[in-house]
Amino acid sequence: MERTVRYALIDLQNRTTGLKEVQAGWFGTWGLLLEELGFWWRLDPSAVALTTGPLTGCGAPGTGAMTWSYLKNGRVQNLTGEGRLGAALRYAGVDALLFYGRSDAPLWLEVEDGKLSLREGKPSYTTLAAGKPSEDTVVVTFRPRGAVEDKYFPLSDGALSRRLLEKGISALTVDTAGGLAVADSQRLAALCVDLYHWAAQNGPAAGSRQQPARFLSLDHTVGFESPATYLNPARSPEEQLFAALGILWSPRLEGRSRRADTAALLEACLGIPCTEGDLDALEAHLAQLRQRNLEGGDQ
Amino acid sequence: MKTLFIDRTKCSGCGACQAVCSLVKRGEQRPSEARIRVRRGGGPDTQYVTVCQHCAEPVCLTACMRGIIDQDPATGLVTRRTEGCFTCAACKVMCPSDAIVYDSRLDAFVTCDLCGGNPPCVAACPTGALRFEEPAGASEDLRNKYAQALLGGKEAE
Repeated sequence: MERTVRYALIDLQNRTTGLKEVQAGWFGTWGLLLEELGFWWRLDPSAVALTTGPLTGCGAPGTGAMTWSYLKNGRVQNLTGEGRLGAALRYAGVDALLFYGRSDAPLWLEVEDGKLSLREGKPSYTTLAAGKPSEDTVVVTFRPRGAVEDKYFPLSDGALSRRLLEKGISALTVDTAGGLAVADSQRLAALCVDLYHWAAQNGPAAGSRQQPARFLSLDHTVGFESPATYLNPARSPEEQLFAALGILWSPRLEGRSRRADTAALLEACLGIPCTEGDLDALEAHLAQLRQRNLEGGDQ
Repeated sequence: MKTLFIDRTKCSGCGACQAVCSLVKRGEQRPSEARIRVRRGGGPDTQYVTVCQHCAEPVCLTACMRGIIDQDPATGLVTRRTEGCFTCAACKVMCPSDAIVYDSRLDAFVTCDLCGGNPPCVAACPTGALRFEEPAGASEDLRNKYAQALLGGKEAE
């Protein structure tokens, strides 16, 4: 199951950025359990990675999924987030970000249609929002209490955010007019409508003008009055498998076969055959990696 | 003629309509060129959805220098012959709904064509904010609702 993954290496010490392409052997290998990418942490044990899955940003409910990973006591920690950031990165032609090294002065990263630039300073959300090149620009600020997208949507807990702040990265913006090519757009559109319609049959999904929902989410909203706190939406091994693939299944889609739907979405997106059996095999592979991680990994 | 209406009090800004529109009309996922757009000018607290309202007297039609925008006299549907568009953006500038988007594949400005009377974005809307209705009924309902909201009262029964 090959697909090309583009990841950006952000060297904070030398203030350089670069894009690399690799062939991902499995659907989710480059999505969540990054033990396979141990060489990243050999480069810098304090490195922090943000990865997306093959379904991230495809348009189906829950496909705003992305995953932060870092090493703690020699073991990889994964935090799943949901929002526009992962999708926007993919539309900009970047599937993953790796921050390594450490800068003494605060920096922020600007991604613009696959072009990455490190800039000096620790701008506030307001400053970044005021300077947005377009209304679709995603602004993420790293603060001690967590990473926050577009001022309101928490993407991580404070531990991850503080790691990034210690490395000298204080904000990230993604601006793109790009898109995501899919193999069978009509089938994907029909699947998306079917899933949204299924959810709506149980009554309107959460969210309103006063409580906006996360990107493509059916049930994760924030209120403007009180600061929302981060909760990892992918805790069970199955949820982690789906998050690795770039989708978080909503409880509102109760009654659907998550594996069958995920396989169908992958087929429509990637244009290669995918069955529930393939997902079982991938889950077993991820479980093996997780076990190796628990036993100490490559460290 | 039925057209698309957005109950902004219900819209959560999730972007489902935009995502489905992009897949159907563009053949890829490119939200920035979907014909129904979630606008985030001032962040999530000021977001709103824009889509062609097929105005009774469309200003885009009169603004178009090439005369490629038409209105069906029977149904009121506003359509355009995109092959003649030379992207002067006069229609976009004039549109009161900010509902005209640039399609880079067609190299033309485009609007919602209601997908032949069966818009998939309506079926996809998970909050029920997007409706495909006759203007008279929808307008009365929405005006009543907004008036109640402005007055601080509850929704009218």
